[in-house]
Amino acid sequence: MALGGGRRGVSRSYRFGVTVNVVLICVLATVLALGLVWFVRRMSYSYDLRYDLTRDGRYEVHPLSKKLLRRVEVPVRATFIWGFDQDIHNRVRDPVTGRPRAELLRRFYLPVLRRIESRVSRVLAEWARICPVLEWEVVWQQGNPQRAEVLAGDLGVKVPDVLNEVVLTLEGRRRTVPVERLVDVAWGHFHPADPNQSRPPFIRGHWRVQAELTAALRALLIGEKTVVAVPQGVSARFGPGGEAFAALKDDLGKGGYELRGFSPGEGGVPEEAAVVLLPGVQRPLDAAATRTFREHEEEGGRLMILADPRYPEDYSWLLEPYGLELRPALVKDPSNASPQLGRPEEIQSDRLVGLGSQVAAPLHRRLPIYVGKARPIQVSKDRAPGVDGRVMLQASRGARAVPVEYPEGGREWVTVPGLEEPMPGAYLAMEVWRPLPEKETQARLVLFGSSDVLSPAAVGTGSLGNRDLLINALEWLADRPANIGILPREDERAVIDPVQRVHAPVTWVAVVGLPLLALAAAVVCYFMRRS
Amino acid sequence: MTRLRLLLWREMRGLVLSPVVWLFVALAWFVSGVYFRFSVLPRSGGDLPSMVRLAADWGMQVQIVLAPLLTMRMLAEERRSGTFEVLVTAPVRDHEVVLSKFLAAACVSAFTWLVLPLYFYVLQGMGGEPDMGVVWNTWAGLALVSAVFVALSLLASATTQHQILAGFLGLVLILLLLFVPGMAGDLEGIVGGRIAGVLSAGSLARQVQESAAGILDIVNVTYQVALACLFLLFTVRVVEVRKWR
Repeated sequence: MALGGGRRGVSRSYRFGVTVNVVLICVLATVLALGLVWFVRRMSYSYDLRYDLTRDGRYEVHPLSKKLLRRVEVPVRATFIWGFDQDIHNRVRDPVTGRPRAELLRRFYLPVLRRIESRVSRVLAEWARICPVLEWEVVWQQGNPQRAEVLAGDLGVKVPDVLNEVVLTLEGRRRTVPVERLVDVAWGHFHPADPNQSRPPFIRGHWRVQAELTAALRALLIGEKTVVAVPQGVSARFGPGGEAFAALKDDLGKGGYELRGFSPGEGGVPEEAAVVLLPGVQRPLDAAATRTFREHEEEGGRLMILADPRYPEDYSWLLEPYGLELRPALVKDPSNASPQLGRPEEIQSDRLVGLGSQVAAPLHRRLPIYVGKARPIQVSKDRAPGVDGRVMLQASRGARAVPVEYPEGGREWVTVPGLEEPMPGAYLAMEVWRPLPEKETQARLVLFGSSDVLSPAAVGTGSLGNRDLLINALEWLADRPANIGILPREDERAVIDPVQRVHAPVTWVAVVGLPLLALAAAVVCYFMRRS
Repeated sequence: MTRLRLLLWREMRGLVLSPVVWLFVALAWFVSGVYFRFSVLPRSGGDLPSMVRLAADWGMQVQIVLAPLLTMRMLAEERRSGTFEVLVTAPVRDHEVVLSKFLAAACVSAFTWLVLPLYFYVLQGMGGEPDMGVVWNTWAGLALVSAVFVALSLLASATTQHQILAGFLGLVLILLLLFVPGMAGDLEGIVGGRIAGVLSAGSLARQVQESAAGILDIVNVTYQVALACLFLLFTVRVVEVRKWR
């Protein structure tokens, strides 16, 4: 230490040296600290360094999605413009002025939309943590209309076209997910004259933000659409040309599936079809059609068959090698009856899943599946070599079967109640396959004893697992088992209703009790110090 | 380690037995209670996750003031009253002195935020089903961020012998730390996209919101711990430099 002649005892040069030393150390420490943070952040793109502590794992990203997101190298963009759309405006319109009532929008609809926005933002934020090339933006249309216009313009559409829809884009491809698929909302309405007839909006629950956005992302990243060929001219319940087909086509189209009609008698199944869907054929198929489907199956084709107790076609010409038989009967399962319909032949439950099923197992006790009216599937030992299968859906032990008859003419059906018999654990859906060594492939079949499972109402209802089941089945048939899954249902127990009942205790504890306790401690400390 | 323990005990004793500190705590609890009862509960509409988020927001705002108030005396007063020279010539190291003061203030700050889980236990007692994992995670997030603010305010306290100035400087530094990342979007044209991205990633407000959402992110924890350590290092260096003046 250089003790110079200065008043403070150390020389100026020494002080300067100490200061420089200190500054250098601080700069180095800053660089090291930022470097450490940068390093950990880079690691977080490859390893899971974020932990979801919520009870229902609502932010848990599906392991498959993580893998997909980590492999993405081209920019993915997620846009969500939310706000009061035309439907909401109509619900609060004042008949006198013709305008929507702003106070109702702010008081009732804005909190609902904000909750949805909050969930979507959180999921997208989680994705952005895993995928550095994901950009996302969430904009409130009424709060920032200019920005909403710009975003919609980037997508090549107008704001109303994408309002309340999450839009994912990648290299010009796009997938949209409307809010109705993200959560079950009762949008309510407001009676202009009688408040007693008004119903404010509320969120019923069954959040599916993770599931739906991940499904859309999967479809986007996979790329080309999966073609599902549906025969026309075979009197299919959901065949091409009908409204139900159009609704299904639209719904599945957003998930990356293209439903395409074809004529079985002309040229056979289209080559680009990954799956052939027979959606509730209402009359027996003719020889040309059965030959087309059988040949397709023998070439390693993948088929999804939706039989129905109301229709006579039993597909024995296709099911025989698999040892399966569709009994002409109607299953009644009182313990799994639909709570809304209340009839034992209308089956709906979250306990139908056969646990060995690769297709349906993710849905077990997660979401109820609406099966409706179903034929039981029987399995015999008489089958082609190498055939194997798993039960997808199964009735309870208390199930019974009522024989069904199909009088001449085809369309009518009658049950024969006097011959009802127990059929515990009746199979309602199966996934089966058989090897085709000469073709070096295998044929696969998903057989449902019900066509109600594919009804647009069931598929389009977010609170049911029908859509997930359908997509899982398609993915299994298309040989993409890695795409099968379902994300945990998000928790909706976390509401205090009415909140007014907790006002008093919170007031006493938070406003009065705790501060008084601290004041008492202050007084005690004061007297302790004095003494 | 023994010296650090002794110093920590001394600091904790000083804080815990200080009526002024308890008055601050009472005020913080009262204001938090009023805010929770009259703002959080009505605005959330009974939605428990929203309550946690709103409470976390409020906690961030209170800490901006609480941290400087807790720490403004710590080093500034020592220098003003002349005990600083005694302290630095005692057989204790500078970093032990700074660390003991930091830990004591951080503990008191974390203790103050224990009211947050308490509110939700009250709600649980009334039949609600709050996700207590999320609540405790929020508390941990607030405690970590308060540790960062305490470290920064301690740095401010080390630079001056006037406690009011120290408190004010601490407040300004905390506001800068909070607002600069928030302005990253506006600064993009000036500093460039990459730096703006780095700035926005350092948003402590966003990190607390993530805690309130139930996410424990090691990157956030690393950032906050690194920041606190950095500020403490700066404080130790400032104390060293002051020693030789």
